[in-house]
Amino acid sequence: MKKKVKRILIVEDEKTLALTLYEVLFTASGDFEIIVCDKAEDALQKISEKEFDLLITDLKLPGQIDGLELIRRLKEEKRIPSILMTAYGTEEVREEAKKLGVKAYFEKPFSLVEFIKKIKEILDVK
Amino acid sequence: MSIPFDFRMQLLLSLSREISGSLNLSQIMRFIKFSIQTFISNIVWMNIFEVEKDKLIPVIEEEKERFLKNEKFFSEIKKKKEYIYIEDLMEKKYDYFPFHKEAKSALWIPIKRWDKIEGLFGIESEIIKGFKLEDIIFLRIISDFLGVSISNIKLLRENEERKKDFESAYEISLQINKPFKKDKLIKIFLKLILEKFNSIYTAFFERQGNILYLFDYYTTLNGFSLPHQVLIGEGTCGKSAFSGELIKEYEENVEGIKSKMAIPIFWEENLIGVIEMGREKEFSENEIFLANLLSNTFSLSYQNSKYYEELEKYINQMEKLVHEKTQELIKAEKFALIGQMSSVVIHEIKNLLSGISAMAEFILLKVSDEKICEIAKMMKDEVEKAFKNLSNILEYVKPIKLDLKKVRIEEVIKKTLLLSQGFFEGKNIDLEVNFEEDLPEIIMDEDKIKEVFLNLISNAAQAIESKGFIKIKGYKKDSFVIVEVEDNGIGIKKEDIDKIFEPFFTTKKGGTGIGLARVKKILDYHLWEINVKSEVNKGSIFEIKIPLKI
Repeated sequence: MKKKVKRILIVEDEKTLALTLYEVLFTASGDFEIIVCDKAEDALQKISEKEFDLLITDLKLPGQIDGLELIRRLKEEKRIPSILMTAYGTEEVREEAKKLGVKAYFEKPFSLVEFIKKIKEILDVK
Repeated sequence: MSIPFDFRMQLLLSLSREISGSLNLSQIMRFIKFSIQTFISNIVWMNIFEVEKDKLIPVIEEEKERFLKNEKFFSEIKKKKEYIYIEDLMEKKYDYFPFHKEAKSALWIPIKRWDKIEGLFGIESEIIKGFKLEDIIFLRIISDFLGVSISNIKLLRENEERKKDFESAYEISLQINKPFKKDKLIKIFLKLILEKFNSIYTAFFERQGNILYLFDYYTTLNGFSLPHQVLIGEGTCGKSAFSGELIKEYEENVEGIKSKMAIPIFWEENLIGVIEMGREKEFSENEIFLANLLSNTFSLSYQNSKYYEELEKYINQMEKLVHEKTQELIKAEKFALIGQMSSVVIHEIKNLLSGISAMAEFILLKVSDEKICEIAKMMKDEVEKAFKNLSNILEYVKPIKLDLKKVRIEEVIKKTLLLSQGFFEGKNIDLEVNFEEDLPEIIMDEDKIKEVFLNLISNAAQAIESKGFIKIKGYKKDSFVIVEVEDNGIGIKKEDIDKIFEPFFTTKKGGTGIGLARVKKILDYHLWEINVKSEVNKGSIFEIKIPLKI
């Protein structure tokens, strides 16, 4: 039986981190299709075109929509599991993320090993 | 509610003006009654009793019977010559029968002029312990003014024909009884009496111990001078100071100033100084009488000028305080702005660093070349260090929320010391902890205060290069608990002491300048004070002052 490809959308404007996350997922054992964009507006466009299994987004993004707002908008139409990353970690953000059903919350900087472990757990990939 | 000090002072000044300016006791009484009721609450009765040849005459009429019942009490005050405060009338400590049926406490003050009892001043309150210490001090000062005016009134009564002199004395008193400072008052008074008595000179000698020092003088004669100091007992003014009475001297065979007069000036029983004047013509009986009256007026104004100076000092202090507080606020605002800005900048940097950190970790995960891995590891470590520093700064910048509980300060120190073990490693440091027994529990945010002491102890340990001591002391002083952290380390430079609590100020290599700023911030939120004493190469003492009542 052919393994199903998991499609992941990364929304991160910090290029180094975006690239590293792409690389680490690309080389990880698992069949991932990774798409990266740096704005929530672009992400919404991508999501309207394709089905995604996981959304990984930064909290603070250039443009009108931030990470939490992006998750909030998607919650109403498509139920895509999401991971929130941020350097602006506060109790309020954590609470809000929890309310929106975010699967995981990573405060920058985080360990890549932990990060991949969590993604595999969410996507049920070994 | 207690009335602010400056308000009381102003009231005193205006009261004294009214009291000394009037020769009518019932008018004075009305004025005092009105003024006193504005700052002492619960007064139900007040009256003045004039002493007239062993008899007491109330200014406001009283029931004869009650009045007579208190004869024993009145003679007791007259004998004691000091005020009597009956805190609770129910205790029956004195043979006193209150004038008002609701009275619960009473205060009686003898009205003295020099050592003579001129009257009694009685006040009753409808509550137990109706008078605070400051009220009593205030009322005693008022009764001093009353003494001056009653003795003037009596003089007038005995000398109806001298009404004119009273009027001139009253005129002069109106001109000098203003909020003047001492030197200005004396200048004005000397000029006024020079004109009034047609003198060649008028002078004021101030007394200090056994010597009269020339304070100021006024003269119409060119080249005239007076000795700078006179011993009590010598010369006209010295003789007057010695006897405590007005001295008049006349020398026929002298050119110019043949006649001299010296008037002693008293406040309560104390000789303040002497006014001396001289001219060619002899001083008349009427003039001597007027001079006596004026000495009364002058002593009152002299006393007032001292109150005025005190008041001004107080106002200056307040102004200074306001200025200091304003500067603090400006500083605080500046730091708040820095805070906001640094918060934004720090987050940006954190974001950037998280990419670098992830990259370094990626290399560690994917590359097997040892050399490269070592470099990646170093990169990751450095970035982590930067993160830690940034987080510290962020911690300082964000506002503090206190979680207050009652805690024993010595327990907090004990717990902090358990966390401080690492600071002492590799150094030979003698730790001495000494807390007074039975220190009260203190309301605080325990975690934040632990952070404060952790910081202070860490700094103390860092200040010690290899061998030294750290002493932590806790004791009660007045209404404060004081905690001191002392070390004999490298100390702080004099020019740095004022800056050590400012954020981002540091003298340590690799320091962020946040530790002590954070300490100050936490203590500010607690309304605790921190002071530093330090000397280079001798050590530092950080003293925390914890008020027990806020």
